[in-house]
Amino acid sequence: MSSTDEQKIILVSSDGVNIETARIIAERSMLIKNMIDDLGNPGEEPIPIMNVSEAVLRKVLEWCDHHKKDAPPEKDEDAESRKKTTDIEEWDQKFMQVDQEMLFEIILAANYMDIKALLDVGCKTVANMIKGKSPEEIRKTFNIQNDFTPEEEEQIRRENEWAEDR
Amino acid sequence: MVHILPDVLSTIFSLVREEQSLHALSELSTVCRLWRDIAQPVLWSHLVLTADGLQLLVENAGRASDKLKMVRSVTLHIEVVTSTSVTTSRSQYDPDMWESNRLHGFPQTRALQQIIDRFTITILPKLVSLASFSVFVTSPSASEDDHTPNSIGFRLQTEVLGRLLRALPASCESLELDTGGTDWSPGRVSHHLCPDIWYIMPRLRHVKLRVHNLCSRILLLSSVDSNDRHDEPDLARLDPSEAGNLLHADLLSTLSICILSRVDAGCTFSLCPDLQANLDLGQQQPWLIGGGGGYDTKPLSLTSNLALAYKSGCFPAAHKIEVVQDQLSFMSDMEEFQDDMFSMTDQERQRAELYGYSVLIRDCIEDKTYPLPMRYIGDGYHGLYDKSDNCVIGKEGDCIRYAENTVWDETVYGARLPFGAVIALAGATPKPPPMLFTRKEWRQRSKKGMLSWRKEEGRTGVKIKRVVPLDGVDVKFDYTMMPLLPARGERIPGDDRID
Repeated sequence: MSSTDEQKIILVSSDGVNIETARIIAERSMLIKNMIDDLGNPGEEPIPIMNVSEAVLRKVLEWCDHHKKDAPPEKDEDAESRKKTTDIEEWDQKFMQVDQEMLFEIILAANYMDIKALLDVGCKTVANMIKGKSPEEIRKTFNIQNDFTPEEEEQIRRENEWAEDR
Repeated sequence: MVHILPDVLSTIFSLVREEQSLHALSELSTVCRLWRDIAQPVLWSHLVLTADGLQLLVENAGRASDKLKMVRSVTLHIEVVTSTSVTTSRSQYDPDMWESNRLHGFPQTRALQQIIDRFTITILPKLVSLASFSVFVTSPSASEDDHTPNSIGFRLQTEVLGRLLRALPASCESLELDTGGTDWSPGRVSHHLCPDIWYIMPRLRHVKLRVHNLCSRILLLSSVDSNDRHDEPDLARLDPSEAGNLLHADLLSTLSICILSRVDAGCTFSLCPDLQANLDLGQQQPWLIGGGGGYDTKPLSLTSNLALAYKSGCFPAAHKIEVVQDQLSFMSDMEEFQDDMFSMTDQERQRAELYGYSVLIRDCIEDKTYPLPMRYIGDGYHGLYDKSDNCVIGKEGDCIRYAENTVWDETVYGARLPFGAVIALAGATPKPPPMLFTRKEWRQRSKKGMLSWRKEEGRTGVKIKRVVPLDGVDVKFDYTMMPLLPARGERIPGDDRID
């Protein structure tokens, strides 16, 4: 398999920049792996990644490089072995310390490129950002407009009351 | 804000539900309309309700049919109202109130049962997507100085439970009912829950029951009086005219039963010396049939009837039917058991103890009984030897729970999860499985080193593979305190592990 490990491929970002990377790194993305499998002759043709800009693609590949030796995701994820939100490994935590726009771009890219582990880390990071915040604080954090009428808001509160802390 | 795909947002909200709280998720619904539209289905797909939550749901959500349609699982989590919280001190002991509580339950209990009835009538029929229903009643552990039986006023009436079960929507295919032994009936003719279970079983795939009373009437409906608890059928001698009343649960895949005690119905499993008598007769399964002494009235009917029902095709899709009986529930027969002990030979006594002080598990498909012996080993701890030759060390109640878990299987008891792979977590994170130490790891942790049965009186004892210390147990436990089990090769009747 060493030939596959060292094999280089070229990805093209949405803004038309060619990025060369090792096949083993790029294949953390199931999208790319499937494309390579479908195309055959890897490395000969550049692979377009339509929805991901150069800056985000480089960031995603940085993550893939760091995690290239991780075991492939298991099919049946054992509910008991799932990690808590707080259990994001240190390197990933640092990796996710980016501005909010970049964070969401990474999540979108992970979703598009089908990199489940990266998507997980991204979702956990956002879940942690929500933790302990009131709706108003959440709106402020994510710059969201409150588009409810007071009546609508009251109705939701009443219907959801069974889930309130007591 | 940058747009996040609804799918991704839904994943994030599921994380909030599972790892933060339902309350946090509920708050997200009020952020904006987009978030509401995504958060509400996540929140409403799995209802996790305490008694208070149940009341609020009944009061506020009866008209929210659009939300109720989203519900896929309901987990009802009821904490027992203890007697101490009502009678403040002994000096205020009022015999009339005591009797009233005994007969009708605490006022809070009655209020709760009314709420459950309203839930049964107004909410359940609207849960058209419901796939899994769980009820857990947690009883507090009795404290040393509180001798008042805390279940005296908290009894979840079987009438209420029965109505609830029968009202389960047709879509519901998993049922988990854990009354913690608080199920009872106040009626003059007490309501019998088993016919209710018989009624709904044909449409269920997964059934887990941990109840006080359960009998073979879950398998065969009485053609005479469905509330007669004492009339227990013997499927081996089934009257052809009754065949139409026999259960046919074509979908049933797993059935796990834990019986806490069986009032007036004898043990689910038989004890010695009937065992010895049957051994002397050369019976293949000596524990199956009682006879003599106080055991002849209601011998073992449920476990043997379940095996018979499986053999005769009542559960064509089943791959697991297991029954475990809490060791403590043998206590109801303890007096007779001890009387019998006096007249036993040493060998008989040894066997009687193996069964009398074991948690018994019966695999009704394999038609085998596994005794999991449990012994006191000092320092307030018990040791339990499970099916795979693991030694589990912990407080008595914890050991029994562990034994139940071996029947409860993939859903760890107490995790409060709806079971079945199709359903995700509902508001609670599962407990991690108990830590297992290999022989080597144990040796490193324990100064005492060895991990085999100590030698005693020339016997070598069975080697155990692993030690499982339960919560709060010092792993430096003195192995020499572990009880002696029969050596491998030494014949123990009914113990299928030993050949």
